[in-house]
Amino acid sequence: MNKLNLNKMIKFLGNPNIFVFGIAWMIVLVIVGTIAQRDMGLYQAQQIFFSSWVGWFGFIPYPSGRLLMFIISFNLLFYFFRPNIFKLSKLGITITHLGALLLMIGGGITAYYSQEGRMAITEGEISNYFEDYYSKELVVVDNSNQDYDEYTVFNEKILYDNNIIENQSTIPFQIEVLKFFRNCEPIRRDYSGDRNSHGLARNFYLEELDPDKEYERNISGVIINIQGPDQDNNGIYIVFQGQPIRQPIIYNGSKFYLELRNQRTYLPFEIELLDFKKVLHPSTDIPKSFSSDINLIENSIPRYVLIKMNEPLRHKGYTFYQSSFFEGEFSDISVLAVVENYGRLFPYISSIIMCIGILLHLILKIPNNKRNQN
Amino acid sequence: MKKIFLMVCVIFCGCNIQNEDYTNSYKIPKKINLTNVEDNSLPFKWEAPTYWLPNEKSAMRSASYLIPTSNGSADLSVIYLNGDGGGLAANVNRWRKQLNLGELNQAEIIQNGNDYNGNIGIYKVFEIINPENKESAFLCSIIPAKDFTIFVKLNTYSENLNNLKEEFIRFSSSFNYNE
Repeated sequence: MNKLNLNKMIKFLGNPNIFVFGIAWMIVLVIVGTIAQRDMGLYQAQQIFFSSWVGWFGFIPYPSGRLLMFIISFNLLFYFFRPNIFKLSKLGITITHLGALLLMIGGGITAYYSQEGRMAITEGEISNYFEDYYSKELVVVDNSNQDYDEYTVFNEKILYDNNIIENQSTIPFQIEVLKFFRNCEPIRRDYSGDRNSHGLARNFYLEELDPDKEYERNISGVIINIQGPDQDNNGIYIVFQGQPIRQPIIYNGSKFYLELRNQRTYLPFEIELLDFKKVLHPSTDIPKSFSSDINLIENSIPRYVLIKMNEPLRHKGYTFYQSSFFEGEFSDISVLAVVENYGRLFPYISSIIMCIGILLHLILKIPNNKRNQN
Repeated sequence: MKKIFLMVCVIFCGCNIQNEDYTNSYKIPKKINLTNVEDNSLPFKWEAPTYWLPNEKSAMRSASYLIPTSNGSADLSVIYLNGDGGGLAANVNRWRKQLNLGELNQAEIIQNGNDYNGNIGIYKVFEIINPENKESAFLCSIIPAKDFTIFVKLNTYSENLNNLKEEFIRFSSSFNYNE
Protein backbone atom coordinates (compact mmCIF):
# COMPACT_ATOMS: atom_id res chain seq x y z
CA MET A 1 0.00 0.00 0.00
CA ASN A 2 1.56 3.35 -0.98
CA LYS A 3 1.74 6.29 1.38
CA LEU A 4 -1.06 8.19 -0.35
CA ASN A 5 -3.54 5.37 0.07
CA LEU A 6 -2.47 4.91 3.70
CA ASN A 7 -3.08 8.60 4.41
CA LYS A 8 -6.48 8.39 2.72
CA MET A 9 -7.38 5.40 4.84
CA ILE A 10 -6.25 7.08 8.05
CA LYS A 11 -8.23 10.17 7.10
CA PHE A 12 -11.31 8.08 6.39
CA LEU A 13 -11.11 6.01 9.59
CA GLY A 14 -10.43 9.11 11.67
CA ASN A 15 -13.25 11.10 10.07
CA PRO A 16 -15.05 13.05 12.83
CA ASN A 17 -18.36 12.32 11.08
CA ILE A 18 -18.06 8.69 12.13
CA PHE A 19 -17.87 9.84 15.74
CA VAL A 20 -20.85 12.20 15.33
CA PHE A 21 -23.04 9.55 13.65
CA GLY A 22 -21.90 6.98 16.17
CA ILE A 23 -22.94 9.18 19.09
CA ALA A 24 -26.26 9.98 17.36
CA TRP A 25 -26.97 6.25 16.91
CA MET A 26 -25.97 5.68 20.53
CA ILE A 27 -28.60 8.25 21.60
CA VAL A 28 -31.19 6.31 19.57
CA LEU A 29 -30.11 3.05 21.24
CA VAL A 30 -30.34 4.60 24.69
CA ILE A 31 -33.88 5.85 24.00
CA VAL A 32 -35.05 2.54 22.47
CA GLY A 33 -33.32 0.52 25.19
CA THR A 34 -34.89 2.62 27.94
CA ILE A 35 -38.36 2.15 26.47
CA ALA A 36 -37.80 -1.57 25.83
CA GLN A 37 -36.55 -2.29 29.35
CA ARG A 38 -40.00 -1.49 30.69
CA ASP A 39 -41.36 -4.61 28.98
CA MET A 40 -38.36 -6.91 28.74
CA GLY A 41 -36.55 -6.00 31.93
CA LEU A 42 -33.28 -4.19 32.54
CA TYR A 43 -30.89 -7.11 32.04
CA GLN A 44 -32.41 -8.31 28.77
CA ALA A 45 -32.55 -4.79 27.34
CA GLN A 46 -28.94 -4.24 28.35
CA GLN A 47 -27.91 -7.51 26.65
CA ILE A 48 -29.82 -6.82 23.43
CA PHE A 49 -29.10 -3.14 22.88
CA PHE A 50 -25.77 -2.53 24.58
CA SER A 51 -23.81 -5.70 25.33
CA SER A 52 -24.18 -7.35 21.91
CA TRP A 53 -22.34 -6.56 18.70
CA VAL A 54 -25.27 -6.65 16.30
CA GLY A 55 -29.00 -6.30 16.91
CA TRP A 56 -31.84 -7.33 14.63
CA PHE A 57 -35.01 -5.50 13.61
CA GLY A 58 -36.64 -8.59 12.14
CA PHE A 59 -34.21 -9.53 9.35
CA ILE A 60 -32.44 -6.16 9.33
CA PRO A 61 -29.21 -5.97 11.32
CA TYR A 62 -28.12 -2.82 13.11
CA PRO A 63 -24.96 -1.94 15.04
CA SER A 64 -25.54 -2.59 18.71
CA GLY A 65 -23.79 -0.93 21.65
CA ARG A 66 -20.61 -2.98 21.68
CA LEU A 67 -19.92 -2.59 17.94
CA LEU A 68 -20.69 1.10 18.20
CA MET A 69 -18.23 1.57 21.07
CA PHE A 70 -15.61 -0.31 19.07
CA ILE A 71 -16.14 1.92 16.00
CA ILE A 72 -16.07 5.09 18.10
CA SER A 73 -12.90 3.96 19.88
CA PHE A 74 -11.24 3.10 16.59
CA ASN A 75 -12.28 6.43 15.16
CA LEU A 76 -10.83 8.26 18.18
CA LEU A 77 -7.63 6.26 17.86
CA PHE A 78 -7.11 7.36 14.27
CA TYR A 79 -7.16 10.97 15.40
CA PHE A 80 -3.63 10.32 16.67
CA PHE A 81 -2.40 9.44 13.18
CA ARG A 82 -3.18 12.89 11.91
CA PRO A 83 -0.31 15.28 11.29
CA ASN A 84 0.49 18.21 13.60
CA ILE A 85 -1.74 17.13 16.47
CA PHE A 86 0.93 17.97 19.03
CA LYS A 87 1.19 21.58 17.89
CA LEU A 88 0.46 24.00 20.73
CA SER A 89 -2.79 25.18 19.10
CA LYS A 90 -4.13 21.59 18.95
CA LEU A 91 -2.71 20.33 22.21
CA GLY A 92 -5.95 20.85 24.16
CA ILE A 93 -7.97 18.93 21.57
CA THR A 94 -5.40 16.14 21.50
CA ILE A 95 -5.47 15.77 25.29
CA THR A 96 -9.29 15.73 25.21
CA HIS A 97 -9.22 12.95 22.59
CA LEU A 98 -6.76 11.02 24.72
CA GLY A 99 -9.12 11.30 27.73
CA ALA A 100 -12.07 10.12 25.64
CA LEU A 101 -10.04 7.18 24.27
CA LEU A 102 -9.04 6.21 27.80
CA LEU A 103 -12.69 6.33 28.82
CA MET A 104 -13.55 3.92 26.01
CA ILE A 105 -10.68 1.58 26.92
CA GLY A 106 -11.85 1.63 30.55
CA GLY A 107 -15.36 0.76 29.36
CA GLY A 108 -13.97 -2.17 27.36
CA ILE A 109 -12.02 -3.47 30.36
CA THR A 110 -15.11 -3.16 32.57
CA ALA A 111 -17.31 -4.90 29.98
CA TYR A 112 -14.98 -7.86 29.59
CA TYR A 113 -13.18 -8.26 32.87
CA SER A 114 -15.45 -6.98 35.64
CA GLN A 115 -17.57 -9.29 37.77
CA GLU A 116 -20.43 -8.57 40.07
CA GLY A 117 -22.71 -10.63 42.21
CA ARG A 118 -24.05 -11.17 45.65
CA MET A 119 -22.74 -12.81 48.80
CA ALA A 120 -25.41 -13.93 51.25
CA ILE A 121 -24.10 -14.87 54.69
CA THR A 122 -26.02 -16.04 57.72
CA GLU A 123 -24.97 -14.67 61.11
CA GLY A 124 -22.21 -16.81 62.56
CA GLU A 125 -21.31 -18.37 59.21
CA ILE A 126 -18.34 -17.95 56.89
CA SER A 127 -18.36 -17.56 53.11
CA ASN A 128 -15.58 -17.38 50.54
CA TYR A 129 -17.54 -16.97 47.32
CA PHE A 130 -20.07 -14.74 45.63
CA GLU A 131 -22.71 -15.66 43.05
CA ASP A 132 -23.27 -13.90 39.74
CA TYR A 133 -26.70 -12.26 39.47
CA TYR A 134 -27.43 -13.71 36.04
CA SER A 135 -24.99 -16.34 34.71
CA LYS A 136 -25.58 -19.99 35.58
CA GLU A 137 -23.33 -23.01 35.74
CA LEU A 138 -23.87 -26.76 35.73
CA VAL A 139 -21.83 -28.43 38.44
CA VAL A 140 -20.90 -32.09 38.73
CA VAL A 141 -19.67 -32.85 42.22
CA ASP A 142 -17.59 -35.98 42.74
CA ASN A 143 -18.44 -36.98 46.29
CA SER A 144 -16.47 -40.23 46.39
CA ASN A 145 -13.39 -38.93 48.18
CA GLN A 146 -13.63 -38.85 51.97
CA ASP A 147 -11.62 -35.67 52.41
CA TYR A 148 -12.84 -33.40 49.64
CA ASP A 149 -15.48 -32.90 46.97
CA GLU A 150 -14.25 -32.38 43.43
CA TYR A 151 -16.31 -29.85 41.47
CA THR A 152 -16.41 -29.84 37.68
CA VAL A 153 -18.09 -26.71 36.45
CA PHE A 154 -19.61 -26.06 33.02
CA ASN A 155 -20.37 -22.44 32.16
CA GLU A 156 -23.83 -21.50 30.89
CA LYS A 157 -22.29 -20.48 27.55
CA ILE A 158 -21.74 -24.14 26.64
CA LEU A 159 -25.11 -25.32 27.92
CA TYR A 160 -26.78 -24.98 24.54
CA ASP A 161 -29.02 -27.61 22.97
CA ASN A 162 -27.34 -30.77 21.58
CA ASN A 163 -23.89 -29.74 22.81
CA ILE A 164 -21.80 -32.51 24.35
CA ILE A 165 -19.72 -31.46 27.35
CA GLU A 166 -17.14 -33.48 29.22
CA ASN A 167 -14.05 -33.31 31.36
CA GLN A 168 -12.32 -36.66 31.14
CA SER A 169 -9.89 -35.94 33.95
CA THR A 170 -12.63 -35.51 36.58
CA ILE A 171 -15.86 -37.21 35.43
CA PRO A 172 -16.25 -40.64 33.81
CA PHE A 173 -19.20 -39.73 31.59
CA GLN A 174 -20.21 -37.35 28.82
CA ILE A 175 -23.12 -34.98 29.21
CA GLU A 176 -25.29 -34.16 26.21
CA VAL A 177 -27.36 -31.04 26.77
CA LEU A 178 -30.77 -31.91 25.36
CA LYS A 179 -32.47 -28.66 26.33
CA PHE A 180 -31.51 -25.63 28.39
CA PHE A 181 -34.28 -23.43 29.76
CA ARG A 182 -33.60 -19.88 30.90
CA ASN A 183 -36.84 -20.06 32.85
CA CYS A 184 -38.84 -23.17 33.58
CA GLU A 185 -41.12 -24.91 36.02
CA PRO A 186 -40.87 -28.50 37.22
CA ILE A 187 -44.19 -30.31 36.67
CA ARG A 188 -45.06 -33.67 38.22
CA ARG A 189 -45.68 -36.38 35.61
CA ASP A 190 -49.01 -38.20 35.52
CA TYR A 191 -47.09 -41.39 34.72
CA SER A 192 -43.55 -42.50 35.52
CA GLY A 193 -40.98 -41.44 32.93
CA ASP A 194 -39.60 -44.08 30.60
CA ARG A 195 -36.85 -46.47 31.67
CA ASN A 196 -34.25 -44.13 30.25
CA SER A 197 -35.20 -41.41 32.77
CA HIS A 198 -33.40 -41.32 36.09
CA GLY A 199 -33.76 -39.53 39.42
CA LEU A 200 -36.09 -36.58 39.41
CA ALA A 201 -36.77 -37.02 35.66
CA ARG A 202 -38.81 -40.11 36.46
CA ASN A 203 -41.41 -38.12 38.34
CA PHE A 204 -41.03 -34.62 36.93
CA TYR A 205 -40.51 -32.87 33.62
CA LEU A 206 -39.51 -29.26 32.93
CA GLU A 207 -41.92 -26.89 31.26
CA GLU A 208 -40.43 -23.84 29.55
CA LEU A 209 -41.68 -20.42 30.69
CA ASP A 210 -41.15 -16.97 29.22
CA PRO A 211 -38.17 -15.24 30.86
CA ASP A 212 -39.21 -13.02 33.74
CA LYS A 213 -38.71 -9.28 33.41
CA GLU A 214 -36.58 -9.40 36.52
CA TYR A 215 -33.99 -11.81 35.25
CA GLU A 216 -32.85 -12.93 38.72
CA ARG A 217 -36.28 -14.45 39.30
CA ASN A 218 -35.88 -16.95 36.47
CA ILE A 219 -35.51 -20.58 37.44
CA SER A 220 -33.16 -22.09 34.89
CA GLY A 221 -33.25 -25.78 34.16
CA VAL A 222 -31.54 -28.28 31.93
CA ILE A 223 -32.39 -31.71 30.53
CA ILE A 224 -29.26 -33.78 30.01
CA ASN A 225 -28.40 -37.18 28.64
CA ILE A 226 -25.56 -38.92 30.44
CA GLN A 227 -23.52 -41.35 28.35
CA GLY A 228 -20.58 -43.49 29.36
CA PRO A 229 -19.45 -46.97 30.30
CA ASP A 230 -21.96 -47.51 33.18
CA GLN A 231 -24.99 -48.65 31.14
CA ASP A 232 -27.29 -48.86 34.20
CA ASN A 233 -26.93 -45.20 35.02
CA ASN A 234 -26.78 -43.76 31.51
CA GLY A 235 -29.88 -41.86 30.55
CA ILE A 236 -31.86 -38.69 30.99
CA TYR A 237 -31.65 -36.49 34.06
CA ILE A 238 -33.15 -33.10 34.83
CA VAL A 239 -31.58 -30.42 36.96
CA PHE A 240 -33.06 -27.05 37.85
CA GLN A 241 -32.18 -24.15 40.09
CA GLY A 242 -33.43 -24.27 43.63
CA GLN A 243 -33.87 -28.04 43.50
CA PRO A 244 -34.36 -28.99 47.15
CA ILE A 245 -31.97 -31.93 46.81
CA ARG A 246 -28.98 -32.11 44.50
CA GLN A 247 -29.49 -34.83 41.88
CA PRO A 248 -27.34 -37.81 42.91
CA ILE A 249 -25.77 -40.30 40.47
CA ILE A 250 -23.89 -43.43 41.40
CA TYR A 251 -21.63 -43.96 38.38
CA ASN A 252 -19.02 -46.70 38.15
CA GLY A 253 -19.38 -47.07 41.91
CA SER A 254 -18.55 -43.40 42.59
CA LYS A 255 -21.08 -40.94 43.94
CA PHE A 256 -21.71 -37.72 42.01
CA TYR A 257 -24.16 -34.86 42.41
CA LEU A 258 -25.55 -32.62 39.71
CA GLU A 259 -26.48 -29.04 40.45
CA LEU A 260 -27.50 -26.00 38.41
CA ARG A 261 -26.75 -22.75 40.21
CA ASN A 262 -25.70 -19.16 39.72
CA GLN A 263 -22.07 -18.90 38.64
CA ARG A 264 -19.76 -18.76 41.64
CA THR A 265 -16.51 -16.87 42.02
CA TYR A 266 -14.28 -17.97 44.85
CA LEU A 267 -12.34 -15.33 46.78
CA PRO A 268 -8.76 -15.61 48.07
CA PHE A 269 -10.08 -14.81 51.57
CA GLU A 270 -13.13 -15.53 53.75
CA ILE A 271 -15.79 -13.36 55.32
CA GLU A 272 -17.47 -14.27 58.60
CA LEU A 273 -20.67 -12.45 59.50
CA LEU A 274 -20.51 -11.69 63.21
CA ASP A 275 -23.63 -9.59 63.53
CA PHE A 276 -26.16 -7.89 61.30
CA LYS A 277 -27.72 -4.66 62.58
CA LYS A 278 -30.80 -2.90 61.32
CA VAL A 279 -32.00 0.54 62.42
CA LEU A 280 -35.62 1.45 61.66
CA HIS A 281 -37.17 4.86 61.16
CA PRO A 282 -39.01 5.65 64.43
CA SER A 283 -42.46 4.01 64.70
CA THR A 284 -42.16 2.34 61.29
CA ASP A 285 -40.92 -0.91 59.81
CA ILE A 286 -38.90 0.98 57.22
CA PRO A 287 -35.15 0.43 57.61
CA LYS A 288 -33.15 3.61 58.09
CA SER A 289 -29.79 1.92 57.84
CA PHE A 290 -28.29 -1.52 58.07
CA SER A 291 -24.77 -2.74 58.63
CA SER A 292 -22.74 -5.93 58.95
CA ASP A 293 -20.04 -6.62 61.51
CA ILE A 294 -17.67 -8.99 59.78
CA ASN A 295 -14.36 -10.71 60.21
CA LEU A 296 -12.19 -10.61 57.11
CA ILE A 297 -10.19 -13.83 57.42
CA GLU A 298 -6.99 -14.07 55.43
CA ASN A 299 -4.32 -16.72 56.06
CA SER A 300 -6.38 -17.73 59.14
CA ILE A 301 -5.95 -14.22 60.62
CA PRO A 302 -9.28 -12.46 61.26
CA ARG A 303 -9.60 -8.67 60.95
CA TYR A 304 -12.73 -6.90 62.18
CA VAL A 305 -14.49 -4.66 59.63
CA LEU A 306 -17.82 -2.83 59.70
CA ILE A 307 -19.64 -2.65 56.36
CA LYS A 308 -22.34 0.03 56.25
CA MET A 309 -24.53 1.49 53.57
CA ASN A 310 -22.27 3.80 51.49
CA GLU A 311 -19.22 2.60 53.42
CA PRO A 312 -18.11 -0.49 51.50
CA LEU A 313 -15.18 -2.76 52.21
CA ARG A 314 -12.48 -2.72 49.54
CA HIS A 315 -10.00 -5.58 49.57
CA LYS A 316 -7.79 -7.15 46.92
CA GLY A 317 -9.69 -5.55 44.03
CA TYR A 318 -13.09 -6.57 45.38
CA THR A 319 -15.61 -4.11 46.79
CA PHE A 320 -18.32 -5.28 49.20
CA TYR A 321 -21.39 -3.07 49.54
CA GLN A 322 -24.17 -3.60 52.07
CA SER A 323 -26.99 -4.46 49.71
CA SER A 324 -29.94 -6.03 51.54
CA PHE A 325 -30.89 -8.57 54.16
CA PHE A 326 -33.32 -11.33 55.11
CA GLU A 327 -34.67 -11.77 58.58
CA GLY A 328 -34.68 -15.34 59.80
CA GLU A 329 -36.36 -16.89 62.81
CA PHE A 330 -33.10 -17.45 64.65
CA SER A 331 -30.51 -15.46 62.72
CA ASP A 332 -30.44 -12.84 59.99
CA ILE A 333 -28.88 -13.12 56.56
CA SER A 334 -26.88 -10.18 55.26
CA VAL A 335 -26.58 -9.73 51.50
CA LEU A 336 -23.45 -8.00 50.24
CA ALA A 337 -23.14 -6.82 46.65
CA VAL A 338 -19.66 -7.74 45.42
CA VAL A 339 -17.94 -5.97 42.54
CA GLU A 340 -14.57 -6.63 40.97
CA ASN A 341 -13.81 -3.99 38.36
CA TYR A 342 -10.34 -3.43 36.96
CA GLY A 343 -11.59 -0.45 34.96
CA ARG A 344 -12.89 1.31 38.07
CA LEU A 345 -10.40 4.18 37.97
CA PHE A 346 -10.59 4.86 34.23
CA PRO A 347 -13.66 7.17 34.35
CA TYR A 348 -12.02 9.34 37.02
CA ILE A 349 -8.65 9.56 35.27
CA SER A 350 -10.12 10.11 31.81
CA SER A 351 -12.56 12.76 33.09
CA ILE A 352 -9.68 14.68 34.65
CA ILE A 353 -7.65 14.40 31.41
CA MET A 354 -10.63 15.59 29.33
CA CYS A 355 -11.20 18.56 31.69
CA ILE A 356 -7.52 19.50 31.42
CA GLY A 357 -7.72 19.18 27.63
CA ILE A 358 -10.83 21.36 27.29
CA LEU A 359 -9.45 23.93 29.75
CA LEU A 360 -6.14 24.09 27.89
CA HIS A 361 -7.95 24.44 24.58
CA LEU A 362 -10.06 27.33 25.93
CA ILE A 363 -7.00 29.05 27.41
CA LEU A 364 -5.11 28.72 24.16
CA LYS A 365 -8.08 30.16 22.29
CA ILE A 366 -8.19 33.35 24.42
CA PRO A 367 -5.50 35.25 22.46
CA ASN A 368 -7.23 34.36 19.17
CA ASN A 369 -10.59 35.53 20.47
CA LYS A 370 -9.10 38.81 21.69
CA ARG A 371 -7.41 39.29 18.33
CA ASN A 372 -10.71 38.69 16.53
CA GLN A 373 -12.51 41.14 18.83
CA ASN A 374 -9.90 43.82 18.15
CA MET B 1 2.97 6.30 16.96
CA LYS B 2 3.11 2.80 15.49
CA LYS B 3 3.81 1.44 18.97
CA ILE B 4 0.73 3.15 20.39
CA PHE B 5 -1.34 1.79 17.53
CA LEU B 6 -0.02 -1.71 18.12
CA MET B 7 -0.65 -1.48 21.87
CA VAL B 8 -4.24 -0.34 21.46
CA CYS B 9 -4.88 -3.03 18.81
CA VAL B 10 -3.61 -5.65 21.25
CA ILE B 11 -6.00 -4.30 23.93
CA PHE B 12 -8.95 -4.44 21.52
CA CYS B 13 -8.05 -7.95 20.39
CA GLY B 14 -7.60 -8.95 24.02
CA CYS B 15 -11.13 -7.75 24.67
CA ASN B 16 -12.40 -10.03 21.92
CA ILE B 17 -10.78 -13.12 23.33
CA GLN B 18 -13.22 -14.78 25.71
CA ASN B 19 -11.69 -14.37 29.12
CA GLU B 20 -13.67 -17.16 30.73
CA ASP B 21 -12.81 -20.79 30.92
CA TYR B 22 -15.97 -22.63 29.99
CA THR B 23 -15.01 -25.70 31.95
CA ASN B 24 -12.95 -25.87 35.09
CA SER B 25 -12.58 -28.03 38.14
CA TYR B 26 -11.54 -27.54 41.74
CA LYS B 27 -11.53 -29.38 45.05
CA ILE B 28 -13.19 -28.26 48.25
CA PRO B 29 -12.70 -29.99 51.61
CA LYS B 30 -15.89 -31.69 52.73
CA LYS B 31 -18.09 -29.59 54.98
CA ILE B 32 -21.59 -30.63 55.98
CA ASN B 33 -23.84 -28.34 57.95
CA LEU B 34 -24.92 -30.17 61.07
CA THR B 35 -27.22 -29.24 63.91
CA ASN B 36 -26.50 -30.31 67.45
CA VAL B 37 -29.58 -31.85 69.03
CA GLU B 38 -29.79 -32.05 72.81
CA ASP B 39 -32.92 -33.14 74.64
CA ASN B 40 -32.60 -33.12 78.45
CA SER B 41 -35.16 -35.89 78.76
CA LEU B 42 -32.87 -38.26 76.82
CA PRO B 43 -29.59 -39.80 77.98
CA PHE B 44 -27.95 -39.09 74.62
CA LYS B 45 -27.45 -36.31 72.10
CA TRP B 46 -26.60 -36.31 68.38
CA GLU B 47 -25.87 -34.24 65.28
CA ALA B 48 -28.16 -34.19 62.24
CA PRO B 49 -27.69 -32.58 58.80
CA THR B 50 -29.53 -29.27 58.73
CA TYR B 51 -31.60 -30.24 55.70
CA TRP B 52 -33.22 -33.18 57.55
CA LEU B 53 -36.64 -32.09 58.70
CA PRO B 54 -37.57 -32.95 62.30
CA ASN B 55 -40.80 -34.94 62.36
CA GLU B 56 -43.26 -35.73 65.12
CA LYS B 57 -42.02 -37.84 68.02
CA SER B 58 -44.15 -40.52 69.66
CA ALA B 59 -44.16 -42.60 72.83
CA MET B 60 -41.63 -44.93 71.21
CA ARG B 61 -39.75 -42.53 68.94
CA SER B 62 -37.22 -40.34 70.75
CA ALA B 63 -36.60 -38.51 67.51
CA SER B 64 -37.88 -38.63 63.99
CA TYR B 65 -36.79 -37.02 60.71
CA LEU B 66 -38.11 -36.67 57.19
CA ILE B 67 -35.18 -36.73 54.80
CA PRO B 68 -35.92 -35.11 51.44
CA THR B 69 -34.72 -37.20 48.49
CA SER B 70 -35.17 -36.84 44.76
CA ASN B 71 -38.14 -39.22 44.74
CA GLY B 72 -39.96 -38.44 47.99
CA SER B 73 -39.08 -38.32 51.67
CA ALA B 74 -37.27 -40.99 53.63
CA ASP B 75 -38.39 -41.66 57.21
CA LEU B 76 -35.82 -41.95 59.97
CA SER B 77 -36.64 -42.93 63.54
CA VAL B 78 -34.56 -43.09 66.71
CA ILE B 79 -35.69 -45.21 69.65
CA TYR B 80 -33.83 -46.36 72.73
CA LEU B 81 -34.50 -49.27 75.05
CA ASN B 82 -32.96 -50.25 78.36
CA GLY B 83 -30.31 -52.94 78.37
CA ASP B 84 -29.78 -54.57 74.99
CA GLY B 85 -33.40 -53.94 73.98
CA GLY B 86 -34.06 -57.61 73.24
CA GLY B 87 -30.78 -58.34 71.51
CA LEU B 88 -29.34 -58.05 68.04
CA ALA B 89 -31.01 -61.05 66.42
CA ALA B 90 -34.52 -60.34 67.71
CA ASN B 91 -34.46 -56.74 66.47
CA VAL B 92 -32.93 -57.49 63.08
CA ASN B 93 -35.42 -60.30 62.51
CA ARG B 94 -38.24 -57.96 63.55
CA TRP B 95 -37.16 -55.52 60.83
CA ARG B 96 -36.73 -58.33 58.31
CA LYS B 97 -40.26 -59.50 59.06
CA GLN B 98 -41.57 -55.99 58.32
CA LEU B 99 -40.15 -56.41 54.81
CA ASN B 100 -41.53 -59.95 54.43
CA LEU B 101 -38.09 -61.53 54.70
CA GLY B 102 -37.33 -64.74 56.53
CA GLU B 103 -35.54 -64.92 59.84
CA LEU B 104 -31.77 -65.38 60.10
CA ASN B 105 -29.81 -66.97 62.89
CA GLN B 106 -27.44 -65.03 65.17
CA ALA B 107 -24.33 -65.97 63.19
CA GLU B 108 -25.85 -64.92 59.84
CA ILE B 109 -27.00 -61.63 61.33
CA ILE B 110 -23.57 -60.82 62.72
CA GLN B 111 -22.09 -61.62 59.32
CA ASN B 112 -24.60 -59.35 57.55
CA GLY B 113 -23.86 -56.32 59.74
CA ASN B 114 -21.00 -53.88 59.23
CA ASP B 115 -19.12 -52.43 62.19
CA TYR B 116 -18.55 -48.70 62.58
CA ASN B 117 -16.84 -46.70 65.28
CA GLY B 118 -19.03 -43.95 66.75
CA ASN B 119 -18.65 -41.50 69.64
CA ILE B 120 -20.20 -44.02 72.06
CA GLY B 121 -18.31 -47.02 70.71
CA ILE B 122 -18.53 -49.69 68.05
CA TYR B 123 -21.98 -50.27 66.58
CA LYS B 124 -23.50 -52.33 63.77
CA VAL B 125 -25.29 -51.18 60.61
CA PHE B 126 -27.65 -53.45 58.69
CA GLU B 127 -28.90 -52.98 55.15
CA ILE B 128 -32.24 -54.81 54.83
CA ILE B 129 -33.64 -55.03 51.31
CA ASN B 130 -36.37 -57.19 49.86
CA PRO B 131 -35.69 -57.24 46.08
CA GLU B 132 -39.42 -57.67 45.46
CA ASN B 133 -40.31 -54.54 47.40
CA LYS B 134 -38.58 -51.53 45.90
CA GLU B 135 -40.76 -49.03 47.75
CA SER B 136 -39.41 -49.89 51.18
CA ALA B 137 -35.91 -50.81 52.32
CA PHE B 138 -34.20 -50.27 55.67
CA LEU B 139 -30.87 -49.01 56.87
CA CYS B 140 -30.64 -49.78 60.57
CA SER B 141 -28.03 -49.21 63.20
CA ILE B 142 -27.89 -50.75 66.65
CA ILE B 143 -25.75 -48.65 68.97
CA PRO B 144 -25.00 -50.25 72.34
CA ALA B 145 -24.43 -47.73 75.17
CA LYS B 146 -23.69 -48.08 78.92
CA ASP B 147 -27.12 -49.24 80.13
CA PHE B 148 -29.29 -48.77 77.08
CA THR B 149 -29.26 -49.38 73.31
CA ILE B 150 -30.11 -46.90 70.58
CA PHE B 151 -31.91 -48.16 67.47
CA VAL B 152 -31.91 -46.00 64.34
CA LYS B 153 -34.02 -47.04 61.36
CA LEU B 154 -34.15 -45.38 57.96
CA ASN B 155 -37.04 -46.40 55.71
CA THR B 156 -36.88 -45.39 52.05
CA TYR B 157 -37.01 -46.58 48.43
CA SER B 158 -34.38 -49.26 47.88
CA GLU B 159 -32.70 -47.12 45.19
CA ASN B 160 -32.12 -44.35 47.76
CA LEU B 161 -30.19 -46.45 50.23
CA ASN B 162 -26.78 -45.93 48.62
CA ASN B 163 -27.25 -42.19 48.43
CA LEU B 164 -28.26 -41.87 52.07
CA LYS B 165 -25.86 -44.38 53.55
CA GLU B 166 -22.96 -42.00 54.11
CA GLU B 167 -25.11 -39.47 56.00
CA PHE B 168 -26.87 -42.20 57.92
CA ILE B 169 -23.54 -43.54 59.18
CA ARG B 170 -22.32 -40.05 60.07
CA PHE B 171 -25.59 -39.51 61.95
CA SER B 172 -25.32 -42.85 63.78
CA SER B 173 -21.69 -42.17 64.69
CA SER B 174 -22.59 -38.80 66.20
CA PHE B 175 -24.58 -40.20 69.16
CA ASN B 176 -22.94 -39.35 72.44
CA TYR B 177 -23.85 -39.34 76.11
CA ASN B 178 -25.90 -36.37 77.32
CA GLU B 179 -23.92 -35.37 80.38
